[in-house]
Amino acid sequence: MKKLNLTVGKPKIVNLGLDSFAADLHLQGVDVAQVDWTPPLDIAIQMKAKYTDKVRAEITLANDKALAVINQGKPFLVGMGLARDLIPGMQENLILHAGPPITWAKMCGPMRGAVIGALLYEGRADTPETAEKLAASGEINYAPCHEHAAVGPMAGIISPSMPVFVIHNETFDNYTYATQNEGLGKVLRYGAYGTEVITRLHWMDDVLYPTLQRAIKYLGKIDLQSLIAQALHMGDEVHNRNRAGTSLLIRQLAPAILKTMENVQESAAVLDFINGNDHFFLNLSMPACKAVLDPARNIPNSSIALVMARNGTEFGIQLSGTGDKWFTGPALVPDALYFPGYSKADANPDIGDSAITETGGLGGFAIAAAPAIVQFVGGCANDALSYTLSMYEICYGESTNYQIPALDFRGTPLGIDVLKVIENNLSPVIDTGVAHKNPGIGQVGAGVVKAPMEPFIKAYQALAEL
Amino acid sequence: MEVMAKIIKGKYLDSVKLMLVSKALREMSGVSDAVAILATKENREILAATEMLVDEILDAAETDLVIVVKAATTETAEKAIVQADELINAPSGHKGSGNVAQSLHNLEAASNSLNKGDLCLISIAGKYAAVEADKALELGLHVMLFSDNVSLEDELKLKQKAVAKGLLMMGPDCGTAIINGVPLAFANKVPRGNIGIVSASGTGLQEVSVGLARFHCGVSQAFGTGGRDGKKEIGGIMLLAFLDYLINDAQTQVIVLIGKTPDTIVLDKLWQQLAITAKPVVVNFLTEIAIPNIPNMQYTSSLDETAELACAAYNKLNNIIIATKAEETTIVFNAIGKGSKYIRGLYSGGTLCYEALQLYHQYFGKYPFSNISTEPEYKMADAWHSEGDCFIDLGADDFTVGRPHPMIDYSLRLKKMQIEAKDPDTAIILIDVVLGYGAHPDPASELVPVIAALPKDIVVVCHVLGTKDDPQNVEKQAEQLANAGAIVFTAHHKAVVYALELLKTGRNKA
Amino acid sequence: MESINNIGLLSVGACVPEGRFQLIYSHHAKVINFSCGELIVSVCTRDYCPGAFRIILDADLLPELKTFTKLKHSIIFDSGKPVKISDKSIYLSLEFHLVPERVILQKNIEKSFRDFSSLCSPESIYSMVSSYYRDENTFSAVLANSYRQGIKMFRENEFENAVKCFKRKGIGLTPAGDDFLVGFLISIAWMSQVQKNELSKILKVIFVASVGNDPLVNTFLTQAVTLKLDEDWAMFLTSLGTKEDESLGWMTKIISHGSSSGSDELSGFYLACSLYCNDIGLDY
Repeated sequence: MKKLNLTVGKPKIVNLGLDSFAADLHLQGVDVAQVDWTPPLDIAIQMKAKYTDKVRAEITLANDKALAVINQGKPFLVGMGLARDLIPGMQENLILHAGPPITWAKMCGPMRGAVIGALLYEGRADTPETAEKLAASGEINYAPCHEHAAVGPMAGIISPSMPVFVIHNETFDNYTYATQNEGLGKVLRYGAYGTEVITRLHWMDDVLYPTLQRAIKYLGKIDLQSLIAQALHMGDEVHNRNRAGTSLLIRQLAPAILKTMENVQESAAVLDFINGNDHFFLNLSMPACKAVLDPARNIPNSSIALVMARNGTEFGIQLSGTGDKWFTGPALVPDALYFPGYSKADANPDIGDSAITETGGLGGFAIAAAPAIVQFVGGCANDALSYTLSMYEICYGESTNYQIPALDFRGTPLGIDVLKVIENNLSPVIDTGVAHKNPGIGQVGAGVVKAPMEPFIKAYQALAEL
Repeated sequence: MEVMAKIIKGKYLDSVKLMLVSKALREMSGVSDAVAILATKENREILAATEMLVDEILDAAETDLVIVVKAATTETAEKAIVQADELINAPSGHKGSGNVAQSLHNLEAASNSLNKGDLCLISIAGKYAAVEADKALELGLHVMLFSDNVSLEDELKLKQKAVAKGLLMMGPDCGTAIINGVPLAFANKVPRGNIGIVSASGTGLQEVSVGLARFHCGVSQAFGTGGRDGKKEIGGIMLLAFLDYLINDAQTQVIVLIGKTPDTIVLDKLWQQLAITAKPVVVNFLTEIAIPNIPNMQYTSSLDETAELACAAYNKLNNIIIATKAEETTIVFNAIGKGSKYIRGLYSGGTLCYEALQLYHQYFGKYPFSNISTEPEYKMADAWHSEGDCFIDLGADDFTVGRPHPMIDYSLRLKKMQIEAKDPDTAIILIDVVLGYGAHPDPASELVPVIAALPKDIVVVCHVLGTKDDPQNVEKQAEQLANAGAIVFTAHHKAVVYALELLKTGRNKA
Repeated sequence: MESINNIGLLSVGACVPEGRFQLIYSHHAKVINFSCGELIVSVCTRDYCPGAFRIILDADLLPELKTFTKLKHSIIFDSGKPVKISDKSIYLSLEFHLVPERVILQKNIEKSFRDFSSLCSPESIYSMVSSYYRDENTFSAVLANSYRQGIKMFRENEFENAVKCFKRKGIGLTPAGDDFLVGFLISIAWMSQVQKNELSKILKVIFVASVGNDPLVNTFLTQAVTLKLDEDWAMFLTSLGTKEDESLGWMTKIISHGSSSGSDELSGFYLACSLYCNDIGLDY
């Protein structure tokens, strides 16, 4: 029994609940902090008994290991080649897509459009109609990029003839792949398949790819981790803003393109193309994240998510401790900033593998580094800081490679811990573009969206059952 | 659909800001369209085609920018326009004090943001409240648990933990406290002073602290324990701990103890503790009970008397002589309507309602009907249906599920007043109007039109509980209610006695 | 705030007449518009590119300014010391010449249109007319329909009615429809120069129909028909006529004008190109 002890002076108050109480206290000059509280999920209460101290200790041990593996990764861009030659398990009749597994019947508009586009591009069909027929015929197989060491933004379609970047994680000697970014507007990844789209893809095969391939070969390798780290200091979060990353990349590539030049016009066109496309670097930041996350797979008991991906219909995650199993739930239609003339009604549910950046401690998790885009997420730099700060509450640790200048160079939040997501009832924020639900219209908005809880709930359950 | 517009003259807006403003407005629930445009003749045609051309726009020059909002209700449209104004006038890039808007999703982060907090005020749903209160105690924070629906088992555990750590554990269901001069949750702005209060009742604490202020005395500390602390299961842990604190507190010269009568074992412990202090103690348990002879202790018959005697004790200790007592204005007994015979008390404060029941009993030797009656035969079967003399606590659970407390939201009481007024048997309507922090910002604004519209033969008696330093200012509220035709008191006991006297006189005449 | 007398003068438009300007038409953070007869002369920060009716100051924000007097060789702001106008700070709009190789023109316009369609502001008229609106009764949907109607009428050579579908209509500080007409006129005026197409009648009809009661818009319309264009537009058009097409950079600059003004002007520009430039096929 201790003597009741009151400090002198106005008490400093933590308010949990009615904010009018906090407002009244504030009015009286009392220091008060309002807790932005959400009730715990029912599942957290139900499973309380399963997550005993002993189980939690095992999880902690496993997570320490997983986080160390992720932090030790060193991703390099080491070359280019064709999907059919490089991507493990690639076949002529296989088309890779973003997100968890999905059938043609369940694909959303933009993804179907992109599949049609890919079949036209491959020369497997002459018209969109025949392409659609072929796509639905059963002759074409579909699989997630993530199951083939690859990632793709938006629809994320990869077909055998597409050139891909090769990323090598030197620490663990694993590889990942991604296609070249097509730019904005009517593009395959938003489901457009018009002539201009296919023509651009062929130009990318005939001009962009060989030029870049020669340049990368000449350079040997490009240190992506170092580029990303610098880009964060220059206002990128490398998901929705890649301007600095693209600029840094072009600084490395340009001399090499000139030195390996075969044709002036083509080289100039390649530089123009990259220069005109701020998102060019996205297709490198994504596979770089995947390359460092993949080696942390299959660490028993680890509750860290290594994949968050959306196929426009479902949102799926994979955990380190649960192998190749996908945990999915319906993808949500983002509450984003819609471009005028568009609204939530026009938007497709969340789509793309690009949430791999958040999984790797970048994107929405690092948005405090990108004040230039906070106008799109609520208007002020403090909002961006608070997004990043809140993500520390659901991450197991911090990045030792990527820092945020505005937080005194604190490492970005890294290693989404499913336990913390559920027990704090706080879902990861993803900084994303929004696709129109109809194929080919393109981006209709941008903003910060919350991942749906369902996949995390399923993962939380599954981990406890192991 | 409601359309509203705002003209903005000479404002510079950049593109992103415009986009954000229209987005923010369109996102508001109930808003179906929002645009920022120049009020050109041609744009007006489009507004007309989309039924968005309202009168305000007709006054605009062709070169003025207008923001037009279409919404489901007038209220939403108004809100959207206010919002637009704020967004446009907000300097871009800054918000609030300039502090980093750190997201505080849990208690620890919030406490740390204050460089360690002192007290945690919890008002979330009861089923989550115990877990959070426990976390707060673990963090070394005092706790005021406003939430109800916490199990007795959890309450006991929390209080035991608090006592072991030397922390306050006020509540569950603790609505009022004043700590180091700071009113918490539902509380009034009263001066600091030397009278300490321990209360198991929220409105009881308010009535007494306001009473002290009326007699020019102040409060050292006012602790709430929650209504169940005196139960056998809890054993009065906090009543005893708080009394112990006040007994040893140098600033406290007089102690007040109020609440419903505790369990006999608890009562015994309380008497023991009070017997060891020399400080004057004034006790009120809202009913008449047998009390032991403790020389420094006085037992009172009402909350108002409690305040009065506590102040008298304080004045005596400090040799303060009050020349004249503050008098209420002389009371005129209006005749009650012919043929109507019953009183209907419509309360927001549970303790006040309970006190009214006791006073009624003293007057008429029996209890009136009530939804909080402990006597089965007087318990109202349906609180919506009044018969005979009734005192209804509208703050009781059967009314508050899914709606704000009647001290905040008057709509239910207003409706009930109208229903009672339609009953030809109703002679008197008695209501309490609780002011202070947490309560409705301007109850008179809601009550006045309803009172003014009631039939003239119904007498409305109002008890207004508050101080002139409260945000609502008791004097202003009382004046407005009196002007509307209500008989207004600022002490509960007086209000009830007046109403009962009136009833008795009316009945005798009949 | 810095005194205006210490601020350098970056550029003075050749069309700014001599005299004292004291009637402020509108005042914004980065531009103050002074009435000048039926037109407007603007004093701007360096965020704006040089223009025939503009005075550009070497500043990020504008200082307090009530009047200025333009003399032949100097400008006096309020009642300060005269600031000398150096010869090189005088902005003369470029002139355009016949482009003999029509193929170049055709290819460049087609390519730049493709760039535009992917880069243009999503709020622009081009984006609006190619968008689908679920709720037909919103302001944007009705507006987009009016624009679509206007485009149809331009195709059918119903110029005056077409103009009515754009004039003074649209979102933003200058109604987007007016910006569209400005771009449309620029295109016609420019094509008459570089192609020697006989378009002067159409130009006149559309100009007369477009002029209204907003002096700022009238100033832009006048600049368009007389091809006294600002630097970004002038360079954009020039680059479209050269073999090494560098139009993309200038187009991006135009797109950054105003909220969606630049994209709206370009929306009009390409529509006129597709209608009046022979051999050009734009998927408008």
